Amino acid sequence: MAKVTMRILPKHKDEIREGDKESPIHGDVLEAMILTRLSLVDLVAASRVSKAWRGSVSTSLRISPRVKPWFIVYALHRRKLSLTSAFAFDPSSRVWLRIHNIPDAQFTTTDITSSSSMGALQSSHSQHLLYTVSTTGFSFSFDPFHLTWHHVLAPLAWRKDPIVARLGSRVLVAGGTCDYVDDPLDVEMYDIASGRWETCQPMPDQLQESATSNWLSSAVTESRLYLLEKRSRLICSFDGETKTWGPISDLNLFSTPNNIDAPDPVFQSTIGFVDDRLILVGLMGKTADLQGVGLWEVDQDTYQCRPIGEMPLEMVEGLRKANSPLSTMRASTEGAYIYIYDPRNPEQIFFCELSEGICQWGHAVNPMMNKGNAINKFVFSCSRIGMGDVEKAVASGSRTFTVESGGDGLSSFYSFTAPCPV
Amino acid sequence: MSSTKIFLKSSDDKTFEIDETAARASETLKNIIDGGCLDGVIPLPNVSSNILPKVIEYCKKHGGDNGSSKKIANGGVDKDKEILPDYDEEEDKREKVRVDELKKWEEEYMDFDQQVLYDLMLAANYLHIKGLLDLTVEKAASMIRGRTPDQIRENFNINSDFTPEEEEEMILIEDEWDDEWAFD
Repeated sequence: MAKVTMRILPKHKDEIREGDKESPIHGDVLEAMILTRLSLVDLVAASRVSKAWRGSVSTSLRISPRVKPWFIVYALHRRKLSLTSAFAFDPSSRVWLRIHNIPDAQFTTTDITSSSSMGALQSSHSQHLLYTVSTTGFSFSFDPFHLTWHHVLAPLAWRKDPIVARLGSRVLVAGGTCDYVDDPLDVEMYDIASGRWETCQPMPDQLQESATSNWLSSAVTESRLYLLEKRSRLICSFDGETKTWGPISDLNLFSTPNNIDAPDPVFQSTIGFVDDRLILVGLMGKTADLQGVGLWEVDQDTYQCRPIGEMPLEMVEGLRKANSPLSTMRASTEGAYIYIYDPRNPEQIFFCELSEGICQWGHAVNPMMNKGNAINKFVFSCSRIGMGDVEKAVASGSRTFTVESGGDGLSSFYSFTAPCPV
Repeated sequence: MSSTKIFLKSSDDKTFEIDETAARASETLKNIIDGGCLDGVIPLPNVSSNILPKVIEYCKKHGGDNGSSKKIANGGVDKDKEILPDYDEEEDKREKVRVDELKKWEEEYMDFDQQVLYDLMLAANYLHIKGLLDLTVEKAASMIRGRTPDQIRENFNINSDFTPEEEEEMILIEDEWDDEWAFD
C-alpha cells in the first residue's frame, strides 16, 4: 500500500553483499518489491535468514512502514472465562492472523476469583488497555500484545462495569454500579510509579443514571479523559493533573456530513482519538433502521462539532445486514484508525483510516469465526505493532502467529476512499 | 493492425519478432509504438536473449490484456462485478474455463529456476508489464510467506552467516527497527 516508485536496476557486481552470493534475489528487488508484500510475521522470519536479508528487511520497513494498528480479538469462553482463541487483523498487510500459545494465566485474574464473573477480562476501548477488576484485585496490561500484566490491590469502592482508562502512568477507574454501595460516581486513580490509589472528584451529577461503561464512551490523552453519554451526547472531561471534572455540555451535531438539508438523527455515538483529533462516530437513523454512519471532529475545548466524513452507503448496507442489534455496535480508535464492529459477533469489521483529508474506508471478514464462537465472549484491543513487538512476543515463547488469509487475494477486503476536510 | 510486426533487440544483439498487439502488453513498448518514432528495431539493453523469449511468450498470451493475470491473483473474483443482477451463467462458465486454462498455463510458464525468476522480474519491471511483474513478485513472496528462516534459506539457496551468539542476540535486541512509532 506504500507508494514506492519502482526504478529497479540490477546492482553492480561489487555491490552485492557477502551473504547474497548464492542467491540472485537481493537488494532493491527484495526490499521494494517482495518484502513489502509480506506481513510483519513473515518479515521476522526473513530477518533471520542472513545478515544481508536482515538489512533488506530493515530497508523494506523504511520504504513501507507498518504503523497501522492491528485489531486484536481475544475470544473467551463465556462461562469459564478462559481464553479459547485469539486473532488479529493487520491492515498494513491486509491479513488475518491467528495468535497461538498464549498462556492462559495471563488472561485470567491470577489468584483472585477467577471462577467468578467479577474477574472477567475487559477492554477499555482505548490505548489498548485490558483489565480485570474484582473485589480483591485489579490487573491491567497495556503493552501491544499484553505480555506484561500489573496486579495491584482493588480500588476502595468496587463496582461493576466502571469506566477504566489510562492517563499516562496512571489508571483511572470511574463510576460503575454496585448493589451494596452508595455513590456510583466515585472516581479513583492508580499511580503506577507510587503504587497507590487516590480518590478524585466524583463524576458530574448529570451522569448519575448512566455512570457505567455500557452507557458512556471514553477518549483519552496522556492527561485528559473525555466521557460521552452515548444516547444523550452529554460530554465532559476529567483533568488527570488537577483530578477534577470540567463543565458538562451537550454536543450539537448540527448536520450530517453529506445530507445537510435532511439530517438523519444520530441515535448512538462513540468518541475516540484518531491521532490527536477527538472524533465522534455517530450511528444515524433508528436502532432498527440504520441510515448511515457519520464522523465528526469535536473541538476539545469548545465541544463544537464539525462533520468530516460518512461511511459509503454500500458499507452501511453491509453493516445493517451483518449484525445483531445495532445498539451494541462499538467503535475503537488507535493511530489513524477507527474500527467499527459488533462486540458480540466480530465476524465482520469495518474501519476507516483518516489521513490528509481523506477517509479510507474498508471492510474485512474474519475467516476464523465460526459457529463454535457462539459460546465465546470477545475482548478487543487496537495496537500499533512494530517489528520489535512481534519479535519480542515470539521470543517470549508466549505468542506465535500464523497468517490465516490475505495478501493481494483477500477477496473479503473492500475499500472505498472519500475526501474529507482536514 | 494485428499483423504488424515489431522487432526487439536483446542486450546481446539478438533480434526477436513480436506482434504489435502482443507488444502492447508492455507499457514501455506501447509508448514507443504510440510515440510513432518506431525505427525498425527496438533495442532493449536491459533484457538478455535468454529472457526475452520468455517475455514475448507472456505478451503473446496476454496481448493487450494487462488485467487478466491480476484477476487470477485475486482467486478469479473480480470485485467490481461480483454480483450483477442479470448474471449470465453461460458466460460465467466460459469465464471460469478461461481462467482455469490461464491458471494452468501460468503454472507451467512459471516453472523455472531462481535466476530466471529474478531476471524476468527485472525485465517485467523495465518493460512495465504489470501482470508479469505481479506474477513473478508474488512467486518470490510465496517462497517466504509462512516459512521458517531455515525453509527460506533452502528456497533461496542461502547460508546463514549469523553466529550462534548473534542468533541469540537478535532475540534480545529491542527497538532496532525503524518502523516503530515513526509518526510520534
